[in-house]
Amino acid sequence: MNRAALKDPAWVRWSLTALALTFLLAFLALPLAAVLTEALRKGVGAYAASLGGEDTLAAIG
Amino acid sequence: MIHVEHLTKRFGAFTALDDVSLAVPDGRLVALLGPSGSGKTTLLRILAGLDHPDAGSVHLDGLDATAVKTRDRRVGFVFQHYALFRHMSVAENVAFGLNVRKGPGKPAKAEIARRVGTLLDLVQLGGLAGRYPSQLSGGQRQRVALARALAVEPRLLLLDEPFGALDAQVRKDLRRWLRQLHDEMGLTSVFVTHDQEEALELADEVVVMSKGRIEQIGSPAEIYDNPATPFVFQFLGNANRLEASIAGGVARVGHWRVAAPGIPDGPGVAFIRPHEIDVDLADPVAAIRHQVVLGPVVRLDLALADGTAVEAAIDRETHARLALRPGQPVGLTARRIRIFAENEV
Amino acid sequence: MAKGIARRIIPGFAPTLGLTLAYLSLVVLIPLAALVLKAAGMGAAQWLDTLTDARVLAAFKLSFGGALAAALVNGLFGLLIAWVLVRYSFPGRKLVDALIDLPFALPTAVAGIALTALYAPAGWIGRFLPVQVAFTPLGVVVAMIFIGVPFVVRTVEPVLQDVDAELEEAAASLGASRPQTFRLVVLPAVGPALLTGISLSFARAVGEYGSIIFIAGNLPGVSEIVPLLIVTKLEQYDYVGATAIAALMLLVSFAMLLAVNLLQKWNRQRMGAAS
Repeated sequence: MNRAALKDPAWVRWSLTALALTFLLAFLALPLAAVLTEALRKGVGAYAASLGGEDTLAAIG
Repeated sequence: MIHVEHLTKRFGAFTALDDVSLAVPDGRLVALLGPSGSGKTTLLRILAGLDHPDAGSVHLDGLDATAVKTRDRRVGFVFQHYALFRHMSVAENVAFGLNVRKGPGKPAKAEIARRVGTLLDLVQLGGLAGRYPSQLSGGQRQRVALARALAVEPRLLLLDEPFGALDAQVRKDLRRWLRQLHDEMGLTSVFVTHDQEEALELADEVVVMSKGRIEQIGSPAEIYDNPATPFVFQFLGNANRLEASIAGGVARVGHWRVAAPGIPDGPGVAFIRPHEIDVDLADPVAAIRHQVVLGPVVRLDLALADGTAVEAAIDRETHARLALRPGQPVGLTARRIRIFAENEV
Repeated sequence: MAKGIARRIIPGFAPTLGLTLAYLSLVVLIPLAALVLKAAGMGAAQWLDTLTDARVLAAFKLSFGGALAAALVNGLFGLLIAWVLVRYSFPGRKLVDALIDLPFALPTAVAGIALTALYAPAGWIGRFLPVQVAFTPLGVVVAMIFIGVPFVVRTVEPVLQDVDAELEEAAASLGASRPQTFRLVVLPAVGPALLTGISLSFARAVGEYGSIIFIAGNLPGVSEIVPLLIVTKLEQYDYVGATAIAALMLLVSFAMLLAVNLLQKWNRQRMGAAS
């Protein structure tokens, strides 16, 4: 069944999807991006060095 | 009046409807009969606008409905599992179609309440207006679904396996009741069923479908007495299926010879209904293997000389008069044999 | 009593009930009881003194008001996200679906720092906003929204998936428009789940600490949340004050969750589906 009667018009689908994605971008995706860029700001080397630290390893378990 | 012309519908590689045309005159109660996968439910859903055909057209009362949305078609649809709104009372369910109307077409509150009351009385649920669907039996839910569909005064009432989810006794009562309701209200209705007994008992006209095509359209008597195709013969009622060979317009079926005009020479198939076989003791051609009493008739499982199994149904008196018992050789007369060419099967 | 036990048909009912209660007591009930006992030990005057303090009242207003606002925003957008994920297909849908659980996985302090960086006046988002978000009550709400999103999406999503398409088709055949169908058929069907999601989001926001304190700015009387106030009191060795605040917070939260549960129960019973 393709349930033609339940299909929303394209403009409804696109605007609702766009609205949902904007919300997720502002509240979830960008914070994640910020964390990652912050972690890698000093280069991958610094990131790896910090990961290798004794305290970090203990915390990660 | 509903006209369906050259409808085709595919779901991926599966062809659900293959060039189907059909006309339903006003006031008729039509059954779409066929096994699952025959396309009958797809046809019903296209009539309601719930699915769109890939090709072909639907006309409702002369209006081209192909592009009309479901909600503007004024077509009542009763779902197999009723699809009642669980969070609404019986009365709210029935009033739904009137409550969602907008503008001048929407009746006043008191008028809606009056019409809901009338409908609930009509479906014999007058006292249950305040109940919720979960508090009703299957038969009651079905009648709520029907009242809800009738509330919008549909030009066409569609029912998908309306009795499928009910037990046998309730089903019988509701069938009779639905037929009466249809006649009293002057409805035009189409229902889908896979139960041949239901189709034959209830409908003015039966549309037999198989593999997305219409096999035959006719009154229940026509369909049963003159099946147009081997499929219809087998799908409606019991039938013995025997091999035949045709030569010069005459078919040989076991020891029988039957006129088969217009059927090409070569192998064929013969159908005989069990109750159209007479049994006597004159020229034995078969032996009784087993016999079962089924109410007013006795069913005989017979074996022809070449071992082919044949089923016959005779009345109890004849059975008693002939004093038939297992192992006994008997003669057989077929009152009617239908021959089809092999390639039609 | 013996008769009652003999009648049970579930094998092992008594030991499992016992284990559940013991576990619940150890982890939840005993700590809560200790808290209440400690609070009960104070005089009424002391109670009143602590709780009518302007700073305490402002913190309560911010914590509960902010959590309510965040829960409502999450209710609206959580429903929207669940709808989009269930009903529509678009490139990257699976990725978005995975992203929803991020607030569960990210340490709250990390989330707090990231949010602060984003919404600070010079941040990626903050620089485009007409009002300042970070270090204001608005920042508190933003953090509360962040940690509450998955609660609504994950409670509504499966229920929305289970809404029988035939119900919507029935509504369409009866003449309902799509907005009417959504409002009258879909929303009531997902309503209880949505309410559960909103109250979970609310409860989490009230109790949240880590991700909020970085973005809040923690200005006493303005952007200071109750959990921070409790920590502050503890750091000042004001155990009595801290306990009083905690007890009240517990009471209010419990009352609200209880009200939501009673509402849901009433709704179920109304439809005759209670068992």
